[in-house]
Amino acid sequence: MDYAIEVRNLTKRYKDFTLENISFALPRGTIMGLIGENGAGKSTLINSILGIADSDSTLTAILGLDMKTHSKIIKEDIAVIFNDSHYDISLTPRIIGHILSKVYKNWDAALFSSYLERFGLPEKKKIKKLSTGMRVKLEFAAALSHHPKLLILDEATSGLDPVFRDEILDILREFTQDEDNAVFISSHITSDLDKAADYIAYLHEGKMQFIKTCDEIREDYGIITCGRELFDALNRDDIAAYKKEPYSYRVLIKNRAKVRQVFQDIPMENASIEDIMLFYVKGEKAK
Amino acid sequence: MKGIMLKDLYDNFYIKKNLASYILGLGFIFLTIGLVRTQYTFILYIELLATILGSCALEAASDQDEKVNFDKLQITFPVTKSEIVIAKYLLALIFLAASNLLSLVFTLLHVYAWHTAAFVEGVQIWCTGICISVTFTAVIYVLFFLFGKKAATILYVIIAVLISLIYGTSAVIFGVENFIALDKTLILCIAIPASFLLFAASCLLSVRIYRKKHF
Repeated sequence: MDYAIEVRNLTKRYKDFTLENISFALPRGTIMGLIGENGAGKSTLINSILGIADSDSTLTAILGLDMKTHSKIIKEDIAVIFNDSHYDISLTPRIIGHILSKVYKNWDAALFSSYLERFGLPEKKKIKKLSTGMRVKLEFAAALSHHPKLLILDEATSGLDPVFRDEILDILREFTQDEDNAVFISSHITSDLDKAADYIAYLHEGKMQFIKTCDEIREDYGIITCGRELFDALNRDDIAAYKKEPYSYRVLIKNRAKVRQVFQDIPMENASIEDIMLFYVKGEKAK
Repeated sequence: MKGIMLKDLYDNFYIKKNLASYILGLGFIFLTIGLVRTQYTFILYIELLATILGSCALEAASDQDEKVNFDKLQITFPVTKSEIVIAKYLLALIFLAASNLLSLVFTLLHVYAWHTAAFVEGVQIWCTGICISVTFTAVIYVLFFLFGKKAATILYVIIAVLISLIYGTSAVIFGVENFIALDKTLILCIAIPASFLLFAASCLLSVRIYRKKHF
């Protein structure tokens, strides 16, 4: 299969944190959502993939090329939007376009203008006079106007209202309609990923917990609310995590079909991505 | 690299407060050069003009970059980290060339219009300005890459004031006339290539600092 990102055994060590032995592959034509609590290592992973932070890995390939040896060629075909790094707010969209036309070989000025028009962004208005949502839209317009094949978003939609976020999700879906393109998006807003992502990668305390398709998550995970007796009867291998409540147990099941075969009548809720994350972070491991 | 240089040019001349600093600074220098036509001001402004103007491209750009953490976004552009630093140094060379050309115009005015110095003396003073401005920029740029904008700006002002003080003191002790009359040909033959070598070394050192800081 042709991958937009392929990472093998990536490790990045800081004094007090280690991103440990991460391996994953993002197929072209898909959107992968990276989830995890604050400090889980999402930004570190993105920075390591992009070469912003140094790391050890047996392979970090983007669009089929090794990032260590072909970074300049690769960067012509990728676009990155961060939540903590932006264009100078004293400049205007037109100037940003002029600068980027000298940065990217395949910069498409007409496409950039069409994005500005579509997003209702005035060309000559200074960025500091634009709303937060408009600034994010400008970053998307700038990111998409050199025909990238891979879009990497690091919490880029944080702080946006649901209407703006929905528009952004539309842009991402539109972008991945071209089967050559792919999106890697880290976000706290797991409901957005529920809507748009094909794959979810869950990072917890520097370790990759799982990478699954959204369908697999829906099929595999479920939540049971039960008493002590049923909790004890459950196979420990089927329990991802549990929370003890005053008069019951809430259990995140990771093998829904298998549990259903044994306990046919017990009510089981669907688990959202947010539920799964909360169980992993706040719940306990079954022993 | 062209894109990075263009962005820095916009930071320097499109942003009103930065443009205003240039206009006010140059306006003050032009005014005093025009009004006070002595040997003392000739040397002072020729050395100051190129030194201050030549090295301020990075100051304005890094001020803007640090506000929005642009460095991180810049690294995702199709340029290497070395090219990012080299682009800053190339722009510095353009600024140095422009400001030293402006100095040359004032030197020629002093020589031919106001007769404050002979041609050879004037050219030697102008060449001294090239050495000082290139050396100053080499030192200041390393400080910017090492300490960031805030600390480097403080050091920039301290060094600029020190140079002016040294000049003022030496002018009083040795006399401006003696300095002008001194044959500086041999010193300049060594100092000019040395200052450019220092500039190249500064660039290499800044590349190392930048790479280390962004890993």
